[in-house]
Amino acid sequence: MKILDVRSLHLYYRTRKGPVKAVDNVNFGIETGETLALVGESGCGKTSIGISILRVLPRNVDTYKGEVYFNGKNIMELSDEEFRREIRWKKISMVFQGALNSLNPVITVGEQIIEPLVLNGEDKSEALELAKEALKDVGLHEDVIKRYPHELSGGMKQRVVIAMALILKPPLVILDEPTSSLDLITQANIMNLLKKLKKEHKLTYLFITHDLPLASELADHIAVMYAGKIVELGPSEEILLNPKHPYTMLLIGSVPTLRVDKEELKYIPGTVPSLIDPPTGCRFHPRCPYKFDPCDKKEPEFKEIGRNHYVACFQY
Amino acid sequence: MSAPPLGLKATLKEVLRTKSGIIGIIIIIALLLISATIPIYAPYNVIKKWNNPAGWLNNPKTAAPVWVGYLTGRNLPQTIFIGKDQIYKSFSYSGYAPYLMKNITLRTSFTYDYDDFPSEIRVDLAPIIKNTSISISIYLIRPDKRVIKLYSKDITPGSGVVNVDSLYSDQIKTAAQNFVIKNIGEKPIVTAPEVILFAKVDKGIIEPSTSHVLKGRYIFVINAISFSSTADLNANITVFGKIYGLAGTDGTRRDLFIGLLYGTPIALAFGTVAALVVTFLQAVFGVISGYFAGIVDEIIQRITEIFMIIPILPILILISFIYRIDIWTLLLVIVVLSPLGYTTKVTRSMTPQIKEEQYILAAFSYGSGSWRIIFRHILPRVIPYMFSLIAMSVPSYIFLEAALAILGLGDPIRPTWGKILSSAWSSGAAYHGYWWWILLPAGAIAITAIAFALLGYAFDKVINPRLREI
Repeated sequence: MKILDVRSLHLYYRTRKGPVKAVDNVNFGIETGETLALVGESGCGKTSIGISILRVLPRNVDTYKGEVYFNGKNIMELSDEEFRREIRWKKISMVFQGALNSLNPVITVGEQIIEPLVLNGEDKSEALELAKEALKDVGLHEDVIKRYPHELSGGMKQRVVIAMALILKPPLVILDEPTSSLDLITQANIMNLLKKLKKEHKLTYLFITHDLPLASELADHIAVMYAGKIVELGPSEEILLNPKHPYTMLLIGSVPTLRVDKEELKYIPGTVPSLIDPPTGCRFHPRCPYKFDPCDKKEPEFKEIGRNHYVACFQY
Repeated sequence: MSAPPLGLKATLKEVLRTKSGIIGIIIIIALLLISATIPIYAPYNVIKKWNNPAGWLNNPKTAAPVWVGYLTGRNLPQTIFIGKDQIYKSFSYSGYAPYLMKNITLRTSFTYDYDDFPSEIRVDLAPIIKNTSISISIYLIRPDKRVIKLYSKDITPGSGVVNVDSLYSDQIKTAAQNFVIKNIGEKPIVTAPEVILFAKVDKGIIEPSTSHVLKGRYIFVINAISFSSTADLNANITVFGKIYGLAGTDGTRRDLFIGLLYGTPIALAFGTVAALVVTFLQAVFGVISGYFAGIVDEIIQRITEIFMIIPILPILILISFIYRIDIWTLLLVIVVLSPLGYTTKVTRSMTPQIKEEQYILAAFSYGSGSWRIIFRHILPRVIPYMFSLIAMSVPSYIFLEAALAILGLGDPIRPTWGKILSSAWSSGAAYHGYWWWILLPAGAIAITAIAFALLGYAFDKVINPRLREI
């Protein structure tokens, strides 16, 4: 059963030049207990999907519509207050991008972790016990509870933030670039921790990253985003070994590897288009090497070309 | 703004590492300790005692602090009090009944070896008579064996205690004048009985500034005659000195040290409470303004500007003038008049930046409401910046209270530093040279101001790394 089913989700930001179509008619779903990795270049709208699922929107939202089914219930229909009370952190929690800044610098780690509990009416001393448990769960000593964030290393802070996301035992966790500012060893530790927690707590992850190899570590399915749209979605092996969309192919091709001695790193010419005024038709066509006639006129359909493998391209 | 991730405890620890912070805190703690000694030094209702002139009658008027004697090396006169127990009493009878006369003689002596003249001599006569009157004379026998009759009067029943005071009694004044005329042949230029009676008989006696003290044994003799055999007389004699206590006395003989002591906690409490409450309120409104932005921001900022141009002192003068408010009401008025102000602007400018930080978004996403975010996550971040503003504004509130007091609009009953200065001002203390009456309360205000200013600089240094010493 799908724990999360997102249908025709839109999130536009208001700017002086016009609306920024950060999330434009996006459809995807996650099966319970699986991990979906959302991969794409910077500025393609990955984080916007995360915050629109959790409904933590900035002030300048222009359009916010679509359907988000959580365990079969459309949570977009809930009022802000109901959403806050029922969904946030209890059902869906999030590890924010740049988690190193996700802790209040002037309160102790313990006080910080128990905030979600206290807000849900938990007694403070009990909450602190739970916080100690949660810290042990993420591999930290329980004494960390008395420390201030600036006394912790990046990896420790990241663990604290993950502990905080899991404190109310939500079934679905959105991980927004959870390892982007960490060194490789710490990154590996955190990835292993995430795997362990997933197994122990039967979690479902929506893993947002720009790092395709990292996504392959954790993901059961991968969704590739480009300019506010999902261009390809499918099981990880399919996407990694048999990519169909030209953008996915180029993205995989641009990953540096040690084994093959490449003379020059491949890259995709051009830049991500402006989301205020995106290209007509397929949004990737200005950079696409396989571009042909209908590409710049009509928008390609998001269709299933294999088992659970969807792609939006006129080649298929 | 690089945000030092400091809580209150860490900030205080840092402040204690700076020299100015240490000095500031030591002075403030010393002031608190000194003011904590009031119950020992004055174990009674200070406000009641302070405002009751009768309670201070046994103190010398405008006496300097005792330590002045040590500084100048002169043996300045202390107050000599001779109670009725130290006065030798004898009776004798003369005449025949029914015209039997009872003579009562009171006799006492004391050694006067100070380097300066007393400031006042007072004899309290308490006759015990029923129907007949009593005729009393007071004599002073000087060490040079000269006798002066200071006073004589028939006292009728029901007069109570009669105070014969050298400052007010015309008889004593005349006696002193006659003493000079008789011995020198000249009328004194200035007749100050307490000087002439204790001066050597030479040319200098005609004026206090040229007189010399006659040291030695002085004898007071009080004679009383009555036609009643039951009549009796008791007396106290006080020779007032020129020094008293640690801070001297004022024009109504009050011990200024008690006033200064009592004024310390009042000044500290008034200044710190006003500074804390006002700064905190202003900070909260600033954060609210910056957090909600938009129309809320616009309204709060415009009202703040109105509050910032309201002239507080004239309004306070007006209110105090009409209502005679006490110091705690004054505090309330100050708070009411400045809930928005400079600090509102400062925190308003800091909030948008803090609001955009990741942890605020995280807090919002796990369900914190706006108010919880404001008070739990944003306010603690701006509070450290307020410490120096609070410390720096404490003196200004103490000055404000003193300014109102000097204008005669201070607290009606409590002794405050400002009120002591105010009474010094209205008694012309500067003209008369009663410097302790002015310098001590003014010095107390100045020291307190310096302490808080030093503390403020220390906070500034800790919070504002640009100002840190290398």
